Amino acid sequence: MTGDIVIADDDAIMRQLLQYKLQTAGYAVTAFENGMDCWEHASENPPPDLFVLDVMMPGLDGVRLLRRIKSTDRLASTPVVMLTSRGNEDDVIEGLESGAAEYVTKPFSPNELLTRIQRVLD
Amino acid sequence: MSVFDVPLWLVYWLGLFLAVALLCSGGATLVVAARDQRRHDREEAVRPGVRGQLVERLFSPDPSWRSWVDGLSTTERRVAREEVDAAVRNLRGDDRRGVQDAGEALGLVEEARATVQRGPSSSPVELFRVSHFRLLEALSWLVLLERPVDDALLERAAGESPDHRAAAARVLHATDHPEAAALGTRILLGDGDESLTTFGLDTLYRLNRADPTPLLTYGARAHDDWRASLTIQVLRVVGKAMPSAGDAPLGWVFDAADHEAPEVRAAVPVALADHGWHPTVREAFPVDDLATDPDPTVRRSTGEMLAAWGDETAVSRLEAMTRTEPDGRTRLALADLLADHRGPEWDAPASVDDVWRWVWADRRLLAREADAERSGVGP
Repeated sequence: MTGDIVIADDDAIMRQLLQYKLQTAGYAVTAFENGMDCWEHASENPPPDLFVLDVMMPGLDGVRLLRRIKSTDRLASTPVVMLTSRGNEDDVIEGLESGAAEYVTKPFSPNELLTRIQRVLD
Repeated sequence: MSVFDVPLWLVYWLGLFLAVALLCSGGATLVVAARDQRRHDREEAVRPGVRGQLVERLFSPDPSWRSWVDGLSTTERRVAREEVDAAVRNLRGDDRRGVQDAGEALGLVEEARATVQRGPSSSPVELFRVSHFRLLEALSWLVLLERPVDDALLERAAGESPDHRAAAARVLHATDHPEAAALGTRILLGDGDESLTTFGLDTLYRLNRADPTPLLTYGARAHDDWRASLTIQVLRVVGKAMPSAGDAPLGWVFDAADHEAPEVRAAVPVALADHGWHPTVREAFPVDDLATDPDPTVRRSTGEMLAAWGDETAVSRLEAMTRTEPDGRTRLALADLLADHRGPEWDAPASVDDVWRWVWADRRLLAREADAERSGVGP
């Protein structure tokens, strides 16, 4: 499997865990600890194949970042997978309405996330 | 002797004492702050390495957690515990089990069990007692790492604090204890004199949602000793987790409709709103008593329950309640509930005519606003 994936998650261990899991599956991963850094990277670089965004992040949160991505022509077609805490159904609805391709709720299994990412990229 | 007659030497020594005490306390604060900062710096320096090792081993076929932990310094172990704490809350499946094993290798389970064993008040000397937060932390670790603990110890640890009781019951739930529902319910509700914490209420629900027989059985025995707020909480759980069949004792729930506190009486129909299909509820529940309750909030809850049941018998009862409701606000609320079942063509009697017209005028306005929003024309 190949592809460029951009991750934004403020939780360091989860960021590293996702990065490791996706890299060992063959993806090139760039990870950010907040939405603003992720947005700056996305604005200045070629679009990745997929974004993985945590909903709860300080500053620019995942849903607002998703909206920015979807309203930017050259990024709009890039699929976005959102991560959120269990029970936040409003986040799920808001994210799906804003154009998220998939939603994964925490706690989650990295294997399940990988499968969903592969399905989105296929 | 006035205050101005205090000997000068006493003022001098008092001033000196205060100055020394101030210097000592300031110095001690600086020393502690510097020590904490050094400790923090040391932890942050090793954190990326420890986190990387944890992640790498988590996905390796043979993580050998014990040998990993043996090779860690004291600072690295402290950091590893924090990283395990963060990871175990966000993972499930095999990876979660891997992190739990890492936590066990770090000694977290052993330490938590020892803390639970010491209990909240095992020592007559205050200094040696386990603090409230240490015990909670220990119980939380046992929940997160899903490691069981002896029932008797757990019951003792639950003690008199609602927080401890909730945490102890959660350990039973998280570790899939075979008697989790019965034992956990007893631990949570054993006191009866204090309301459950939010976490305790959630735990009571989780323990009983699949089959609330343990909760109903315990309630039948103990509900007389519960304070009103606890009874309301239990009724809320009963309402969300009703048995689909069986002979679980529901009588005490119906009896609560006769409770002296109107809040409890109002909570009974709320609890039964989703269970109008249950034959025992339909046959034995004293709807008429609540429909004529002196408290308007109880009558309103009863109307909500009847509207939720929604069959012709229930709606006819709701219709009769609306006709005879003496309180204006409650009459309006009941008419609004009735409007979901009887269209605008319902022949409203004179006693309800004003609220019935109001309800339908309000509904037409809301429909127009919704249409305008759908068609993109704002108000």
